[in-house]
Amino acid sequence: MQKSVKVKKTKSGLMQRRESRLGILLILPTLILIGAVIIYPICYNVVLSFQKVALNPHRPSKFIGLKNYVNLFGDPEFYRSLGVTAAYVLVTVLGSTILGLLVALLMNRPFKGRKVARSLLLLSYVAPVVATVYVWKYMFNGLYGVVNYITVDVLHIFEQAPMWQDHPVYSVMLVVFYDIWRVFPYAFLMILAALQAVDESLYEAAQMDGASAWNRFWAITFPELIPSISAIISLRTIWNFYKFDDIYLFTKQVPVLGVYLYETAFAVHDNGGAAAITIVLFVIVFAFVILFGRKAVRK
Amino acid sequence: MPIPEDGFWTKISAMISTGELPAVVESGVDMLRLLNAEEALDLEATTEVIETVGKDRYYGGVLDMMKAPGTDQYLGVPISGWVSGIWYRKSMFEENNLEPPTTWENILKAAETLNDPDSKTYGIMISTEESDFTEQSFSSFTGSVGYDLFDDSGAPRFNTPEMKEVLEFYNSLYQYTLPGSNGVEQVKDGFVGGHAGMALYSTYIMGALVEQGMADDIGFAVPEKTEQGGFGMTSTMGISNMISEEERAAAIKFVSYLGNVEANIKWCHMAPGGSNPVLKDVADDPAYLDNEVLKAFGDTAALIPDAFENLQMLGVKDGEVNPAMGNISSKFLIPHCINSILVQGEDIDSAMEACQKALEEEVAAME
Repeated sequence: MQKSVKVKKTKSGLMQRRESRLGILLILPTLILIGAVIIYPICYNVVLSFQKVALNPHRPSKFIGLKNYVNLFGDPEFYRSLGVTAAYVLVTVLGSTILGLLVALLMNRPFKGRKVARSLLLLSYVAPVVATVYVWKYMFNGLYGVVNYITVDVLHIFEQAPMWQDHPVYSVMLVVFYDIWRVFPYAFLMILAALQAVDESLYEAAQMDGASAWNRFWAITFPELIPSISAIISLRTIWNFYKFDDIYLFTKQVPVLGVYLYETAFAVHDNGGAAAITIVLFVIVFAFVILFGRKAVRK
Repeated sequence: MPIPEDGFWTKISAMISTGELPAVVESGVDMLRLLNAEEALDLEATTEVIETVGKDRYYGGVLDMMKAPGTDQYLGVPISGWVSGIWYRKSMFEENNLEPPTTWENILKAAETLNDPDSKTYGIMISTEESDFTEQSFSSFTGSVGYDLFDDSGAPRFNTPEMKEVLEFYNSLYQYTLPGSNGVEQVKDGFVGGHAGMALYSTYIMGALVEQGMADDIGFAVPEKTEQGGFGMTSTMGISNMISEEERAAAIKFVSYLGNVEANIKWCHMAPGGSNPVLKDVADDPAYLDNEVLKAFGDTAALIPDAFENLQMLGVKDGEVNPAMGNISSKFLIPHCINSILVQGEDIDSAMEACQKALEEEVAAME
């Protein structure tokens, strides 16, 4: 009897070992892929951040210790960019999420032509950034822009066309409005999907208890949407933290970190300096994701 | 493999890093300076080609800006080039009895006379944004007073009365242009759209002017004060040193072939007007002017390549470019100063002082 149990145990141990071997074999391609496209570039970037990098592989790169980091933390422009980026991220992420939420609530109600309206709302998000930026630039152009035509020639709000891309306040407003306009469909889409998953019986029960529309939103809709909203905020924060393209194309008056990174590193081919900046940004964003992720999970 | 223009630098720097630089790289002189600093160019090969093509065939200013620092060799072989200057509406000048905008006084007077912002017409369109276009436009005026950005020891001399005079003049012109940070789109669209009497732009505007049927009403002038100061950039072939002997021989043969009159005319006609001959005999050849775009401009097209004779570039002194100039241009230090004075309304003295300091830091970083 004991012998047969032992044999059974040995057999199951053998099977477990075989299964785990098979498991390792099956996930090996994924591990190799992650190692090659994520782990290796991060490690290589860390190495580069301690070097003065020569572009030509036939010339040696020079180890300079912490000099790239010392230069970075000693540059007042870095802190200014960090502040501008934090403000930009806060306003744009909140703005696009709130707008997306409002539009999703509206589009969740049945009305004629809802499918077409929903599709049209996605246009700004699916159009290429460069194309939409140039359309906006033409809209705000001092010579033939429609915005200046309306605000100056028709409504006489301004005596002269404002310098939208140069004024310290208008230029920030411009890039913020553009980003909110461009990315709110993303929040809209995610929230709409979550809204459609909310159980209708909850609303019916609340209605029977006499809850107003306002109370139903805060007691039922919003708590159900929290996981989606947390994911949107978390992802949008990461994406907007590295924002470069549309801001750089619009104006030179909004020095976010993406622009700082480009101007201090890539414009002069200082790959070591660029690597140091990206490591610092990586640490900041990573810390945010961990902290925000924990809080969102707890909720 | 097609590469968009704005991705060219990134591609080239990546190719240097992998040791896979192509045998021939066509670029402006800025890129060749970077390649030379990275010891990726075969200067002997390019110098051999220039000697084969014939040094005396080039306009004077062209080869001067091609010299590799501290050597008698050349960074690359110029094949064609564009020139920057003042494009003006001849009919508007005639109606207002204005002299062609060849001198600072004529330019300013014409800008003031033709300026009528209420009807969305400006005296002159100039670049004011923080970009290399502004540095290039501004160079037309620094060149016209023979201004040197560096002294004999290589130290920057930005905060000087000469520079202040040029900045004040550029600021005077700004009073008669579209307010704000203007770049390629605003300057080109403003002039071609009929919103300005003059525009400071390169020869690449010619195609758009022909399309709008404006060519016969357009004149071209290079600004002059104490001397003619045309700014231009050549399209230059650099030869890589990361190639085999056979590839090197083929590269020399190919680039030399582009110096041949017939081949060079074909090359220039790929972008007629924008791409101008840097070889005197090509510019004089009737076959060069036998093109629809060039014919539309009449005598003006034939005179443009002459501007290569007195090509002026900021940071080039006695035919040698200061090694810090690449970073100064890449970081837009001078356009930043210009923009802060003109558009942001900063005090000229403090802006010049700040720029001087920034230039000194760049020079010190090179040492």
